[in-house]
This record gives sequence, structure tokens and C-alpha cells, in this order.
Amino acid sequence: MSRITVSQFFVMLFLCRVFTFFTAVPGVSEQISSSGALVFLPLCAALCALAMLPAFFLLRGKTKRGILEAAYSLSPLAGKVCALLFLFCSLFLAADSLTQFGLFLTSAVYPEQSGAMIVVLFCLTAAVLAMFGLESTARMSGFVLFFLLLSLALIFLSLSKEMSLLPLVSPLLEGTTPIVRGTVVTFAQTSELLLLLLFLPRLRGRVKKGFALWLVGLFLCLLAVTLGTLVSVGGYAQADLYPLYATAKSARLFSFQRMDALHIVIWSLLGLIKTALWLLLARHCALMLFPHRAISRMALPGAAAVSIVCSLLLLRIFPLFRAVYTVYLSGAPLFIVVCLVPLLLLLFSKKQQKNENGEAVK
Amino acid sequence: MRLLKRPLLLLLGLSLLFLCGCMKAQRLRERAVVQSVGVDMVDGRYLLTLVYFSPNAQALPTGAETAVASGSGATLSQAVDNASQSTGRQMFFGSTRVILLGEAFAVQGIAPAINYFNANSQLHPATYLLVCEQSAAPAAKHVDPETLAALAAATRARQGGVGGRLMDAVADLETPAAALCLPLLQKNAQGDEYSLKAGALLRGGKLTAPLSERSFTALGWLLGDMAGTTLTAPMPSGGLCTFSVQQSRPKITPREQENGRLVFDVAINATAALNEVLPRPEAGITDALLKEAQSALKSELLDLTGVALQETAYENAADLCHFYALLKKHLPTKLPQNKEEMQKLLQNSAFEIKINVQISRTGLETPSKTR
Repeated sequence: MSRITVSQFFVMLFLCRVFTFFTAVPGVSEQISSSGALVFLPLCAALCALAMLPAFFLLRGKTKRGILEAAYSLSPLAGKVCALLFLFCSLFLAADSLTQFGLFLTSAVYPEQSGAMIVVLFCLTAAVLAMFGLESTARMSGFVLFFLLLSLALIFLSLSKEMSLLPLVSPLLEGTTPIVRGTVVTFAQTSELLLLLLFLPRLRGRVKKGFALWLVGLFLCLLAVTLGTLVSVGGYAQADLYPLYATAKSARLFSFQRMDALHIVIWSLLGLIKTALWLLLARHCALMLFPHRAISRMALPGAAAVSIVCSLLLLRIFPLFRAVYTVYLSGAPLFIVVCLVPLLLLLFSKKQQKNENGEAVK
Repeated sequence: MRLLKRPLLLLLGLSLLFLCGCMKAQRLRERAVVQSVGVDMVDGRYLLTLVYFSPNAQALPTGAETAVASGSGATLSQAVDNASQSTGRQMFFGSTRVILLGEAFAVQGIAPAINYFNANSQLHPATYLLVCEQSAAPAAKHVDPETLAALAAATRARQGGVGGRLMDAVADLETPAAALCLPLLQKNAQGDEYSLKAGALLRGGKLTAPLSERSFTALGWLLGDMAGTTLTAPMPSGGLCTFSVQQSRPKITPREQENGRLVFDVAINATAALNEVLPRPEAGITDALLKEAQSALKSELLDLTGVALQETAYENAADLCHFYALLKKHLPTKLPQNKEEMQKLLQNSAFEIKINVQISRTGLETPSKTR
């Protein structure tokens, strides 16, 4: 099994989270470009750190072990249940990336194009990227990070003339409800925490330090982007379904008449990396469940096919989309897989340890 | 895995054929690259005048390589469709520079056009908006889109780089105060030339009143940085002086008086250079003359801003200076709940204007004594 460095891995996680941030789900996107974001983003960072505490205690001092390996070591049944749960999550999150990509392109950029074709092509490309493996994906992420930061700098540089502090109002102006909602929704969309728990055995280096730097760096970057959007094209961005795309669309620099084209290219690369990671994870979970050679061959194409089907269903059936995203954005599913499952495993392991110690004393 | 990689790559390569570049390709000659759009309302139907790039046509009197298409319909989409059918080309708005809004249409409300064009993914949000006296169609047909865009850009620069674009209108229409000011394209007396002088005041997205040239200019002083513009002011002792503005910083702060009345403190700090004095003083540029010029500039700015606030806030109850946003930022407890409350609040508020002017350099050479 190929391993990558902690810094490479957290660069990938950073890109994945930024992808979600760029395509805030329509309906909650207005919060991204409001002053409230300046409060709920740091709150969400704290919530993410807190949610990871049970996993931290569970995996403390155990190198080369992720949450799945820890579950299997406690009991094969617990391992299989966890693998099934995480397989389901990975497939859903791969489908979510495809859906968000398809929705964004067909609603904001190319309204006349078929969402199905975009989803299929995008997923096939992501599957190819996943086939090249984690190491190749990680290497590609370095370049993408460079271009992402460059494009963001260019966008905000071109909008510097428009900047005004007038839209910066008290974040608590509309009460605490939008802050709480913003914190929960942003946490719900930070599914990268699950990637971390499952990819742990494949990392080389100091994970705790990497995680802390990732969390701080990520939310500082999101804060900077939010602040930049707010003070440059705040009113216009708030009126748009995709505030950050609206910001990129408004920018003009040198011969770049439309900076949104650059934004879309980079954003597509982020989406590819994210989808590829979830597909890799789905393959990993499937292999843990059924460790056969045939599964090893078919897991990735199978995961891609399932993700395409799920994504197309979500795009075509709006009541299903609404129901699924109401649950997903409540934050409960992520809280269960990232916090509750490790907590249960931790309690189970403590109990097992106690029993073992008791038997040893006898 | 290796066995699957090749078929998957082949499938991916083949599926590229289904992308828009191959399947839904649009030839350039089948596409009308729209450069300016005129929106009018005739008998309750939208009338669109679309000026598009056409290398073989010379439809405009200016000789520009453009042709004109028209289409009408109950909705803007239908009007665009009809224009497409009449030309046999698909309308492409990616290069549109200006949208002209006819007076009759603006009176009924520009929101449908703003929403339609804002939703169009091809159109750049920085496309200029102009209101045309009477109808937009003749102006669109007779004035080169590049000229219109240049006029709009120059007007925006003269207004401190504030407003006048599609994205500004979208943002302004979102606030409860929903007031905006757009340049007004006027025909000259002979009816053969167009110029942008005054503004059109829109409240709630509807054209309410024309705005005088002085008020229109003053809005720039109240909202943006007028650096690079010139201003001519009458001297107290007679004659005129012209200044080149190097910097201007407006600041508006709301405060509540003890009796509960709102006061907006308007402060403008400006630095300008004296460019021209007429008639030319015999004694050259003296300290006394500089002081007089400074006082002239101060009075002119005081008068300009006073006229603008009178015309917009008091007479038309229009929030063109972002008073709602200022209240939201500084006095959220006094924030009005709806449009009517905001209008009342504006008409009952007081404005205290403070102008601080500095003449940084004279810009005029003192006649040499040796000469």
C-alpha cells in the first residue's frame, strides 16, 4: 500500500474543503457572504477539533492504524459494521461531489448543457485519477494548490478597487440563529474529517501537527475569502446563488476579461481530487469488507457507477435531493461517523481493556 | 486494475465527443455577438433592439461593422427568441457592453430586465446600464456600442467610480431602500446626437424623476473618490477657477440626536490643484488668491452636496448614498423595517455637511519677475 506524507495529504484535504466552500449548497449559500461567517467559521473550526477528540483518544499511540483498523482489532463484527457504514458514506460523498459539480455547471455556467453528461464524464475522469492511486493524486494536488492560491490572489487583486468596508456589519445583527445554523452547516460540509480518520494508516509524518495546521490554515483561508467577497462585491454576491462564483465573475484583470473561466478550471480540478479521494476510500472500505481479488479489481469502477447513479437520482428527483440534503446539512450524519462511532469504539476498547486487566489479575 | 484502465480511458476519450464542442457546436456565422441591447416597453410588450457584430454589415450611420435585430414579446426571453428567429442567429451576450433602458420601460420598473440579464451566464456583470430619454431603440440603432460604452465608462469615472453597472443595480435593488441612479442618455435639440449629462433616479426599480446634472455630479463626491476629475467654481470676487481633483474622501456617519432625530454627518476631505483662473490675475498666484480659490471650492462642494441631498433624500426620499447600509453598520437599532419607513426616515433626518479642502499645488506658474 503506497503511503504519502502528512503535508501532501492535508493539501488534498484543504483542496477538498475549498471545493465544498465554492459550491455552498443553494439555500444556505447566503451565509457564506454575510458578516456572520466571520464568527461561525472560527466556531466551526473549534467544533471540528472537538468532534475529533474521541478519535484522537482512540488512535493515540497507535501508528499505522485508522478507525477501520481499530474497529477490526476490537471485533471483526464492529469492523465490518464500520466498513459498511463508511462505504456508504464514501459513496454518498462521491455522489455529493458529482451532484454539486453538475448543479453548479448547469445552473450557473452552462444552463443549456445536460447535467447527466457532465456527471458521467466528470466521474469517469475522477475514476481514472483514482486508478493512478493516492500518491499520484497527492502529487497533482500540489500544483492545483499553487494555481488555486494564484487565482484567488488575482481575483481579489482585480477587485481591490471595489473594496469598501460598508458591508461589514456586526455579525450578531440578525441574532444568534444564523450563527448557529452557519456553524452546523459548515461543520456538516467538512466531511474531510472522515477522510482523515480512514486514510491515517497511509500517512507518513506528524499527523497531529498537520491536522492543527490544516484546520487553522483552512479556516483562515475561508475567512479571508469570505471577507474579500464581503468587502468587494458583498451586495452583488449576496444576491447570487453562488457568491464566490459571482465574485470571480465580477473580476477583470489585464487581458483576463472573464476571471470566472480560470475559476471554473481550478474548481473542476478541486472537484476531481475530491471525487477521486472518495472513490479511493470507497474501494478501501469495500476491500475491508470483502478482501477478494475480484473485489479489488471491480471496486473502483463499481464505486464510480454507484456514485453516478446516486448523483443522477439526486439531480433528477428534487424531493429526494431536498430530503437527503436536509439530513446531510443537519450535521448529524458527520457527527455520527466522526465523533459518535469513535466514541463508541473508545468505550468498547476501554471495557475490553478492563476485562483483560481483570482476567490478568485473576 | 490494469485491464480496466485501458477500456476506461477509451470510454472517457470517446465520451468527449458528446461535449458541447463537438455535439452542440455553434458556428460563428450562426451566432449574433450582441454588443448593445435596447429595452423598451411598447403596448405592454417588451421590445428588444439588439446591435450585433456583423463584419459585412454597415447598418449604423457611424460605419461600425454592426447590424441590428429587433424582437418583441410578452417576456424578455420571448423577445430574444423572436429576435433570434428574425435573424436566423443565436444571440450571444458574452460581448455585450451596454444595456439601454427606454424611459417608458424604466417607469414601469427595470427589475425584469435586471433579473433576466443577471441570470444570463454569458453577460458580464460589469455591463453598463443607461436610461434613454423616450425610447432606447433609436439610440441603440444610431450610436455605436463602443461609443456608448466609452460614454458610460467616462460618466462612471466622473462619478467617483460608483454605480452604473449591472452588478451595482442588482446590489442596489436587493436593499429595502432599493434606490439607484443611472446615467441618462439625452438627445440634443436637433435630434441627431446623444449625450450623457444628467442622471435618472430610480426608486424601487422604477424611474421616479430625472436628476439634475449638479446632483448627479455631487453623488460622486458623496460616494466615491473623484480623483482625476475637474471642477469649476465661481470665485467670490468674480471670475472662475478650475481645479483638478487629486483625492476626495467622503465619510457619512449617522448619529441620533437627543430628541431621537437622526442626523447624518457628511464629511468630505478633498485635495485639489488649481488649474486655471479666469480672468488671469495680474499679480499672479498669490496666497490671497489661493485662499479665495480654496473658499470657492469649499462653497461649490457645499452647494453641490446640499443640492444632491435635497433632491434625492428630501424631495424624492431616495437612498442613493447607502444610508440604509450605514444605519445597519452604525445604528442598527434605528434600522427601518420596510421601504416606507426608510423613506419617512430620510425625509425626517438632518444632514450636517463638513467640507475640508486643501489646495496641494497651484498648477499655475507665477509669471517670472525677470521676464
